[in-house]
Amino acid sequence: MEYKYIKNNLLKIPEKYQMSTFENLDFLVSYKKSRQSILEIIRNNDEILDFKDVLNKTSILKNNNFKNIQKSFIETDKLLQFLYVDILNNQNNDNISLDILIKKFEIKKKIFESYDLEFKENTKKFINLKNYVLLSLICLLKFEKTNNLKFLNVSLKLNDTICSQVKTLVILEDILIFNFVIKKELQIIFDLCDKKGIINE
Amino acid sequence: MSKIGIILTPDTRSKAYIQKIVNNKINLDQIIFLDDQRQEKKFNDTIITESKKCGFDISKSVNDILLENNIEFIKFNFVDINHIKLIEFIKNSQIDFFIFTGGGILKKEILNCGSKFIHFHPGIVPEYRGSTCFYYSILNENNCGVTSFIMDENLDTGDVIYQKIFEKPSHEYIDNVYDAHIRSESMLELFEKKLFNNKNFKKQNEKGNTYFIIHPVLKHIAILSCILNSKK
Repeated sequence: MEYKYIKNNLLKIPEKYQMSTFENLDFLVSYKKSRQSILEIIRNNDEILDFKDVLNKTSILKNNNFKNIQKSFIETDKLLQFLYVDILNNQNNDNISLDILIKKFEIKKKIFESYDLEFKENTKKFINLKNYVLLSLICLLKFEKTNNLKFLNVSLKLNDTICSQVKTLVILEDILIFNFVIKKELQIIFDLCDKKGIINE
Repeated sequence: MSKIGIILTPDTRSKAYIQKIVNNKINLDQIIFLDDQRQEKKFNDTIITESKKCGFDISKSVNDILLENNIEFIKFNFVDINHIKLIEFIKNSQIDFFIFTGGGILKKEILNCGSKFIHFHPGIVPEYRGSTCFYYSILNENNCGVTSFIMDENLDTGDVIYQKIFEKPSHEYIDNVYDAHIRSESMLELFEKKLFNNKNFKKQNEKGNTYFIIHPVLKHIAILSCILNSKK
């Protein structure tokens, strides 16, 4: 069985996941294989070890100047980098922006490169995979901190979207983060399977 | 005594609601059937058997059930709950409560037409608002809940009439059978306990969790946890 949710370019043909069919344990096997094959594609010499290590191995901390810049619009990548550091440091003052971004992705299956101050998209550009990688990273971090499945759910969908376009993921830093994200996702999913008594070979 | 009606749509949920109403000899003051003449979905024997165990036959169409039982009903050839023709009809209906079996958001026009609309949501609100909540509840709580509430202009935020927890299913047909079953069982309890006559419904806490359509990986873990545990 093939994991079918990354076959199309999900940025062009969004996946709604509505009334998805049940395909027994074989489905989880195909999901695992698919993610492992993605890991082969984005294999890297360097590796992020945990959520804190993201700050050591990327420029997120260096770029974390979102709150200092007075602007008339929101640059999504800057906001996401700010949110990551904020949540990692347990500041977590801005749940609203994260909830809005999650809702926007869940409905439109797209993350736009910028929004106006009322969070309406003010550009047609949505193919920058960096934003999808960063939002997925944040959602997995939020899941680790809260155990709230809505964060894991959106991360799985974001990761499908990125996997469907993995060949266009060319920036080394994005690849490094996505490698960590996929490993983390697999670990969380199979921990959940264990907890529920589901054995997965 | 409150006057009660139901708005049916051509789907599995409505099949469960109307069959349980008939089987339990519940008299309704108004039955509306929104029927867009869509093609009936076919189900295999296993699903049909499982639905019968839950008190309804998924292979029978809403239309056939209504006709077979000589039930008086009014039919519209659309399924849009916010349709102007439906609003006009309801305005003159003098029904206190309509059970609405479908989903989605009701617009101001229909909410202000005199009747209240009751929805059976498969999740305990405010913790489980939104879509496919039964799967999230199975994963988190190892059970499922249904909340009946008075619909308002937002998603799953209306005043609560009644909440009930159900055991998780032992089969895989959650979308088509289990969902319709637990919602329709909750409806029966509302009639049994005469909760329609209690006008002091409970306000919800604003804070809560809104879920979106579950990803197939989480859906599989939820269903497998039901099936495997029932085999043990």
